[in-house]
Amino acid sequence: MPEQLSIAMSGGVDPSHVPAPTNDAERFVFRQVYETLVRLDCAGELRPGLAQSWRPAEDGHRWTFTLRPGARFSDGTAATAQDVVDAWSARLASLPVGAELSTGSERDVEVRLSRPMTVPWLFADPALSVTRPVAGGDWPAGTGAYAADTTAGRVTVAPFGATGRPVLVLRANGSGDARDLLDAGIDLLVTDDAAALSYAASRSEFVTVGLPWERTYVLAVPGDAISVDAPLRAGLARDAVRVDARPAAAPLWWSDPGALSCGLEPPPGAGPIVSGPTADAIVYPRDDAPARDLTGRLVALGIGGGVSALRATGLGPAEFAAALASGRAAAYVVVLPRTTLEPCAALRTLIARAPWLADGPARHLTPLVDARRRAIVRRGAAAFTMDWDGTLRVQ
Amino acid sequence: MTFRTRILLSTVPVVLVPLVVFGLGVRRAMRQQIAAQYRGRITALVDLIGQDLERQGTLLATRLARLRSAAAADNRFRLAAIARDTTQRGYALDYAGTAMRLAGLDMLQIQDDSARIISSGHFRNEFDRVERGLPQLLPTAPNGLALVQARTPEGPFFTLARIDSLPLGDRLFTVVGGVAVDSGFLARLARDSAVTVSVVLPRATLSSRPGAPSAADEVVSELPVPFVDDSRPDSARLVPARLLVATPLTGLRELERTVDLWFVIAVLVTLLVTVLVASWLASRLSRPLAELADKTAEINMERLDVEFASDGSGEVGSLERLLGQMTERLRAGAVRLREVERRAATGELARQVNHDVKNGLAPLRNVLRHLAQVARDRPAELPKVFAERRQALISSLNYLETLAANYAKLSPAPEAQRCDVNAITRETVEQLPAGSAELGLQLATDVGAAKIDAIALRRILENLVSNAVEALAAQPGVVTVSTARGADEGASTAVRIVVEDTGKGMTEPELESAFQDFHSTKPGGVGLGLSIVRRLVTDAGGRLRVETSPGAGSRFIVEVPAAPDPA
Repeated sequence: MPEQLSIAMSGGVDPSHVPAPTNDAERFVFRQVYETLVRLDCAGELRPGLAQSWRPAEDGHRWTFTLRPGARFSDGTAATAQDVVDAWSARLASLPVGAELSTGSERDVEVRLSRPMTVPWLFADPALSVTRPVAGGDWPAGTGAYAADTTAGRVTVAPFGATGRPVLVLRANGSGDARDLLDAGIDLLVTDDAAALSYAASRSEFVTVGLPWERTYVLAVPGDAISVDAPLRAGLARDAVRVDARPAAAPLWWSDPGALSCGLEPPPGAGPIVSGPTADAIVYPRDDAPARDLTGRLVALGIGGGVSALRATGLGPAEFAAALASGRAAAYVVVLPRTTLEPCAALRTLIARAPWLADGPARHLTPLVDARRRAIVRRGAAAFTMDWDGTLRVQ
Repeated sequence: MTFRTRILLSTVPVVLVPLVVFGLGVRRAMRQQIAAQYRGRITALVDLIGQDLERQGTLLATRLARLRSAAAADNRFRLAAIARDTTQRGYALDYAGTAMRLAGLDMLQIQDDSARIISSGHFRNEFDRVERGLPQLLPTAPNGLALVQARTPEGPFFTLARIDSLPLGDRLFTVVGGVAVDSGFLARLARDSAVTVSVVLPRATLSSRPGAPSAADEVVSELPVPFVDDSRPDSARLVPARLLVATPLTGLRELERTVDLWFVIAVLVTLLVTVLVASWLASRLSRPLAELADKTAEINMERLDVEFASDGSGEVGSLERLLGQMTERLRAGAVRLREVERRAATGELARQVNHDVKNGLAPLRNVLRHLAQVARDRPAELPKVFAERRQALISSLNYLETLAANYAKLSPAPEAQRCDVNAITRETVEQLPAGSAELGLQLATDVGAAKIDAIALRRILENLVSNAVEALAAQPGVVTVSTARGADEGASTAVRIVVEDTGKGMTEPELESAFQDFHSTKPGGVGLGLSIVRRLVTDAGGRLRVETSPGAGSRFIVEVPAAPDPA
């Protein structure tokens, strides 16, 4: 195994986002540095994380997690049950509603739930990673196999302890062409760039692995949802977007919130939907190429029927968030996570972004395509495992 | 109107009229030249714009031809287009985009023989849309070039497009390519930021500058450009659009205003200079004439001593010499005239005296002849006759005596008596008309009384002061009358009266003839003034002296005996 792995993924890494990643690079780095109590692999199997074992009680209303013996944070301090409670106490919103935390012993964490849970995969949510603040440091300490450092202007993820793991160096793609990274000796590249994937396929030293379908592009219409039949979805996936895509497939976690008994309410202060200056536009996130392609195709097809002469409008992250919240556009092309461990929490997050969805997301959302990225790995560079959400772990 | 004014008024138009005519001509020529240059520049610019459009059309044709060749040679594209190979569909969809960027175009779409878009560079996902208008209408456009409204996801844009065919197998595809017609394209056509190029379409107007053309812009040229109007998809048609070249004429107008302004300034400055020069010239020309006129105005019968320079040149010099000669002749004529007048007056008086004396002597001669006859013939009756004729003798003698007395009145016999010199002098002088003179009195307080007839003294003063005032010849001057005790020789028994003036004075000959009877230099003058004065002074036992010099005035000094102090 090489002593160092060069890795390139989309997005930069900001320690202030710990533990909730906002892009692929943060997701990868955080996953190496921080642990959840349990982890969910790509096959949906629950595996030990910081906790070596877990057991239910009271018909699934109470779960006890026993921490791995000898577990330590990267600053050298021992990881205790109290550390878990302390870390979660700051993120109660990520826990099920009504969850109560306690410590049974130094290594036992007890969680009491208002609704029973048969399998505690909720605790594989990265948002529930166990972290410990470090005085004077940018990065909180984690219990993972790595510790991150952002000195010298780049992110270096070094193994914590004598594990024999390689140092991970995240590289930025300067020219914008992912193929340059491959030519520059990158060991792991996660991308959906068709040109890079095609190029890697022509290079024998690389192997390409499809990651799980991790996102769904939906058409969000402040009015009633627009019906997009299967042939149209197939056409969108096949021709309109230039990434690995498929027609959006069920199940969709947002399609039936009533069945989940989430009790969704619009956030306070959300006003009625009014038409505004972007009423004739389909708005999409400007930096998302599939979203741009899908929007262009929808405009070309004149989707929406009664709304004529729609035009595409790409907005930056902040502008798009504001436009989506206002509901003033004719429609939006929105990227949603394909899967979620806690649908109700994800729905609350979605409705917080677009309060006008509170009367039923399915009324307004039309699934278009599922998309995924692929990992291009240099043969023999390292061994990786994949979590439920497609995040790779260095073994 | 004075000679100077005439010169001034005649000089100004003489200078200004040609200048204004010249200036107007220059101004007109300049404006025409400026306008011609401006029109030439605009014409050249419009020609360049037309050439640019043609060049764009040629360039488009070249690029489309190359793209056509490249597409025909591309097997993957051929597979997708002809064989409908679905594995190459994505490649075909992206093909136009790649080709468009490589060719430097802004619009490129490839359509199959049913007008279906199989690849679009400017709108990648517009595939499968049927677009019949462009394949039908673009080939019919002049030079195969037309304005087209193309679509992108973000909205429509206008292009200058042309079409080419792409035969693949037994099918004929079309390739439509174009460059965006936006403000940048039009600005490049305009070249000059002051020029605005606009495209007027049925429902839109594009311009090289925001907000242009404005009210200040004037359309200087208009080029027709065909436009594929596909606002109604089922009835696309080729309609005329207009490419307008406009420019604000404010620069030209400003230039013309500047020319006009400087023209007016030049005229005004020239007018001012002309007036100044003409004024100076008129003054210089008229000054000798004015001086001649002034001198000539001084000439009269009493004042013929005006001298005219005889060394001048030119017309004025000639005129001066002429006037001088004329004055000389006048002076000689006046002397002769005065002599004639004096002789005539003397003769007349002599004849009158002769006549009167004869009239008085005739009765005497008759009586004496009668008495002599009586004494010879009738001596006895002589006493009786004498007695009878005695009255006649007495009457004749009375007549003669009266006659003598009357003539004696021309020189009345003074009666010397004590009189107050200062009082009589003051009274006399104050009653005399001063004319242009400033009459001054310098009366010594110790003068005392003189022994002279008061009327004689008055007549002396009247004559001397009048002569002194007249000697000023209506010119400003001073006449001073002074009294003093004592004579030049220091005799304290005399009173001295001095009348002096600042008049023209007298020459030696004039002084010699001044005291002659009936000599006068004044028209109508009797010529007895100074002779009477001299006689009266002499009769009073005094003496008269004159100190005079031509141009320096005269000084008449009268010395009369002082009256002894009363006991």
